[in-house]
Amino acid sequence: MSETKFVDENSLLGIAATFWQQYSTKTPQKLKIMDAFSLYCFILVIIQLFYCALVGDFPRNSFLSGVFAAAGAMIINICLRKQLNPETKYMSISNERAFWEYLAAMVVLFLTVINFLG
Amino acid sequence: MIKFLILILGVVLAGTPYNQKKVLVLSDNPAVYVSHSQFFNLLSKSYRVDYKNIQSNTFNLQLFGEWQYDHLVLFSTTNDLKVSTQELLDFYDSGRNILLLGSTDQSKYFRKFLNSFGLDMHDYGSSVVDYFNNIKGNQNIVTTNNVNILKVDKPVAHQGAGLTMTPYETFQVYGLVRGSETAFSGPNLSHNIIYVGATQGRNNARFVATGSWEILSDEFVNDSNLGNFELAQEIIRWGFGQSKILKAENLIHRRLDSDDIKPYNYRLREDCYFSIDIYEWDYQKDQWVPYNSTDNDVILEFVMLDPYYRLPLKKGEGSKYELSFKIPDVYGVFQFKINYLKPGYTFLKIAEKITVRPFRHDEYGRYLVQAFPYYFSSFGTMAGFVVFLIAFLLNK
Repeated sequence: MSETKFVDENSLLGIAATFWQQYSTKTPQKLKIMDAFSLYCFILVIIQLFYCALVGDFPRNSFLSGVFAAAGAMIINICLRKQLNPETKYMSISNERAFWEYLAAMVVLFLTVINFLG
Repeated sequence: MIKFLILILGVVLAGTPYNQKKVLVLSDNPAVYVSHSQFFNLLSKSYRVDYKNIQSNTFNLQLFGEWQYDHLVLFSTTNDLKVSTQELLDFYDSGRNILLLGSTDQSKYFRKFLNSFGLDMHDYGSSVVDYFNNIKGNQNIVTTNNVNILKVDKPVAHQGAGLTMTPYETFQVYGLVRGSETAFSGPNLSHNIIYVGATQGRNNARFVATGSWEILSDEFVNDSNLGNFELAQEIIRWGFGQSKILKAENLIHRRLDSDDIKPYNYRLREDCYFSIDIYEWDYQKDQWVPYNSTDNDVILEFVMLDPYYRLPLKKGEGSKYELSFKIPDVYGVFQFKINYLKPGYTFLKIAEKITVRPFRHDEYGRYLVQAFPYYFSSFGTMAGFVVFLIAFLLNK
């Protein structure tokens, strides 16, 4: 007799519960930190889009700059995460080299953002 | 010594008749000099008058390209004039004034000449008739109180034909003395009959025409119950350029908070100050005095293809008319335009060009309150990145 489960595995709630359980046990600590930063940047994007829908994008360069900073950081972070995870690695470069590329990309992004912020 | 004498002579002669303007009086009928003696007295007081017969060859309006006379008084005739209409019109175009005393039997030459000024004479043999406003019951001698632009207090008498004006609106043709409400002449009704009409050209030359000689004849001018004497004075003053002459000078435009006059260019949304001095000629004091516009009607237009502003100028001290306003949110080449067309006064048309430039790239606003979320998010991302780096690298 298999043990009773509280949630039916094929429903939506069941999928979410399974995902959360697998995610918290299987992923290493470093990747979890990266995911936390990505989530933070995503929330910033959502907040800015909400504000723009409310008030309008008057200083349009500031709006683009703010959104692009958060969204760009998120994307670069996701790229590094793909490199660091052995299952999703691409282009076969070493972890250190991936990290240096990550830093370079972030620096260029932030310089652009500060210049365009107005 | 000789120079001193010449100087004294010059000063003495400056006030004498040698410095006055010359008026040519042309008429066909020598009886006119008797019947209009008061009018000629008034003329001779301020002008040098030359009396010539129209048909004679002894006068030249123009000699070797220079105009010999400054003003012209014409008594119309039944025959044509030796001088062509074109030469009279050139006389008018050069800025000199003409007074035409018409009569009902004047020839076609004069009728066509009147037409070039927007006035038209009534038919041959017609005369204005009024059964209510007349003198001693004679319905052909009509009186009216309807006088514009000129200052006449008493009723003005008229006998003879009337004029009509162009039926459409034009700012140049005026009916100085118009018929009273009960006057008529043939098919023309009262408010359309003009006894003394005038046209002021764009060069500010004035042309005054009457429908009959009698309006300025001694019979009416000597009558102290009538205003014809004042009318004669006023016609001479207004018609020959002594009264209601305006002059505008000293146009200043600058930024409101600086003293540089007429800067090279203005910027959008800057405060601008404009002022101009307007003078009126006072013939009694023989000098320019500050002009008093009655109801704030000198209007400044700020135009680039269309007027962006149309604002009345405020009267400052003395003769200054000034205004400060904010330049609109549009850049381009603008003009300050004043188009002052008050009836009876000379036309004031002034245009001054300025340029308005857009913002320089460092003149836009910074640190705007609306953009705070974007500023916070950009720096927040960077702060989060630094925190992430610390956590990532220190984690085993």
